[in-house]
Amino acid sequence: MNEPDPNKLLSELILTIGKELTQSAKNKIKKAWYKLEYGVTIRPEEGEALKKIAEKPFYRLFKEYLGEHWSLKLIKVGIYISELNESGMKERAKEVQDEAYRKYGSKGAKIIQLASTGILIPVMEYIIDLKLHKGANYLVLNQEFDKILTEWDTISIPVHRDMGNEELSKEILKKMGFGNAIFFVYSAGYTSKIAQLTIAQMNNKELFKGKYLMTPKIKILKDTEYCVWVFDKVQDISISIISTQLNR
Amino acid sequence: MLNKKFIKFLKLEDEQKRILLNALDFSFDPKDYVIDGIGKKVICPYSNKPVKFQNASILPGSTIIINTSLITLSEYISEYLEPEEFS
Repeated sequence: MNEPDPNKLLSELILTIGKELTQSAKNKIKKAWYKLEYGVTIRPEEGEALKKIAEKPFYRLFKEYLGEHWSLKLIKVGIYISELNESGMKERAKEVQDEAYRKYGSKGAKIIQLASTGILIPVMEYIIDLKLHKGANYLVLNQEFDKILTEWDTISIPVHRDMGNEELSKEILKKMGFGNAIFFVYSAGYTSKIAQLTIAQMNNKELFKGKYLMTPKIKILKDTEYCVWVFDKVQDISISIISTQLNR
Repeated sequence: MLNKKFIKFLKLEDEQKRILLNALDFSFDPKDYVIDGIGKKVICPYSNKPVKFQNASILPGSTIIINTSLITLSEYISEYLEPEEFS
């Protein structure tokens, strides 16, 4: 379809400025409005960006796997925020977080928070992987995504600037000791170096072997490296997804 | 590709936006809330709140007036523009 031409509507509107809005002028404006498919908004670039996200294969794949999940409307906003630079992310996230909370509760606000820390996309990739590599059905994927959003604060370790190698290592071992079926370590920018080094050293010492399967997910956006390490408890890889599906 | 009719977003000057709303049979109350053809405040279908002129987006689909935010725009796109083959 050809792009709509807003000039017709604009010219009708400009012609009317400062004059009485006659029935004839009204009709011309209405005709132009109903004929052309465009929308008037305050920041057109944001509407266009959200529209583009809705067309992205990554978003469509996520939507295909999760079905009509309540979060999809926020996911688009989250991806948009993720694509901004670091200061833009924080500013826009702050603006929409309260609205997301009012309408969608704490899980809604969590999506925006994950987006503003650059890790929403890696978490979405984890969900997509569950489908691609473990054959999880959409009910399991829905449950898993909801669970991640609900339990995020207890199943994640954010790597801070002042966190040393030893402290991070202790935190990871502590989470492993709790026996969570899954947990995440995430970092951005400078802190990614600390996290990469610590996790590589732990992996070399075979501290995860037979206990947790560790999968790194790295995304570079606007020159900033966002890293998420997914730790899947070994026995849960074979049991949780398949047994949940079999029980249905 | 989005499977419904193409929509291009654009911004209008306040005066143009007011004329457009008037031409589409909307008006404004003293506090500048948008009023529909039967004299009632227009309620945003996504935020469920009355819409003030300054924050109004005017969108196709039987002319939908919304309170503008990233979330309400995303909700509109989900409802009117996204393909439904997966749902």
